[in-house]
Amino acid sequence: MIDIIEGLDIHYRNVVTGLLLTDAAHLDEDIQNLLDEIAAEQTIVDDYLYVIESDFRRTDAMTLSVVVPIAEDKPVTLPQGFRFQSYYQLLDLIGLRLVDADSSQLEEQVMRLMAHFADRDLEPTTPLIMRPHQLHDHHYSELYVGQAERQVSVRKKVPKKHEKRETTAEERAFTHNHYYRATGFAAVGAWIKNSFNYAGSSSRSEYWWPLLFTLLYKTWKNVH
Amino acid sequence: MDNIEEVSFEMTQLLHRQLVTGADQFASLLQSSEELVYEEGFYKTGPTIFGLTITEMASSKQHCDIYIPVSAPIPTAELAYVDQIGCDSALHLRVPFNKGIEAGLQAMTQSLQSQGRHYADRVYIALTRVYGEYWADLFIPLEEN
Repeated sequence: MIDIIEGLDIHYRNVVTGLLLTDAAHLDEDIQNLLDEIAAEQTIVDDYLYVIESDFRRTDAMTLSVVVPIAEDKPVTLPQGFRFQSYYQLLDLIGLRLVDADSSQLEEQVMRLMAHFADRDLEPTTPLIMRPHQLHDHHYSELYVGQAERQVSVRKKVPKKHEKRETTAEERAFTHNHYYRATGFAAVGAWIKNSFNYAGSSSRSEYWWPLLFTLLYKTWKNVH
Repeated sequence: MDNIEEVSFEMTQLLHRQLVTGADQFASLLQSSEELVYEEGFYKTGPTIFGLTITEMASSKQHCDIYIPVSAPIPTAELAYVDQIGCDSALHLRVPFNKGIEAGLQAMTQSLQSQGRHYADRVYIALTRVYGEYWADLFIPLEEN
């Protein structure tokens, strides 16, 4: 049994972050292309990591933030869509390390990490983070998730779920979804209009409102 | 201090809050900034940064900008979104958070004054936690002479 370690931190000085839309079949190739693009102008100095920003169970449409440490404290030029920061830091992670694992072993360990949250009544502070590492012909895969103990005071710091908040242009661009956080009839419209939008992500309201309308429609059809 | 160096400093995609407070409140402000949870779809990606005015440092109350690097440009009810902070050229020194900020700043400003360098009345303090202890990276933006 692989140990789950608590209280881990990740620190990098000078990183470039790029957003990548990919799927499991093209993951390695797309990440390598992204690294090549960065390496064309900067010097990569340490293992990269990627954060699975989309639902980690979906492997056909993945949104990743790829974080690449570089030597330069000021990037020469950055390709479109990349950003730089002098410090990168993820604190209070739980994690584990696998050696030469295949995809089913990875999946099993991801589920173990998730179960660990439920067992300990922890709250995630990050999505799933992967850090691959090659050493002496072995491929190491490190999995991490940020964790905090559930606290009422922590929950007060963010808006309550029922509070309606205007969606910003940045959010719509980031999620590749013009109708992000739509509710009511607008959510049903978004459901139809986004039928052929295979990029980005949707909010929960865009799932539950169409479902509610579908159920109401079916009920009405059964009655008549 | 030997480890004073000239560097570039840049942080992107941050949440920001401005307040007037005393230096004795910094530790609790730092602690609360570390407690963001991944509920609204973003997470903390870097150290909390305080932006302070150097000439106010001795005052009991001072203007304080708190910056929290995050993964997505999503403001909250309490925190506004800022795209970028930093400077192309800054004097940098790392000191322990609980002791050394004042002495470090004094050493940096003395060094700049002795060299006749112009600098902004501003310091960014990035608070990095290493093995349970906080370190303060001090950055004073340099101006062209």
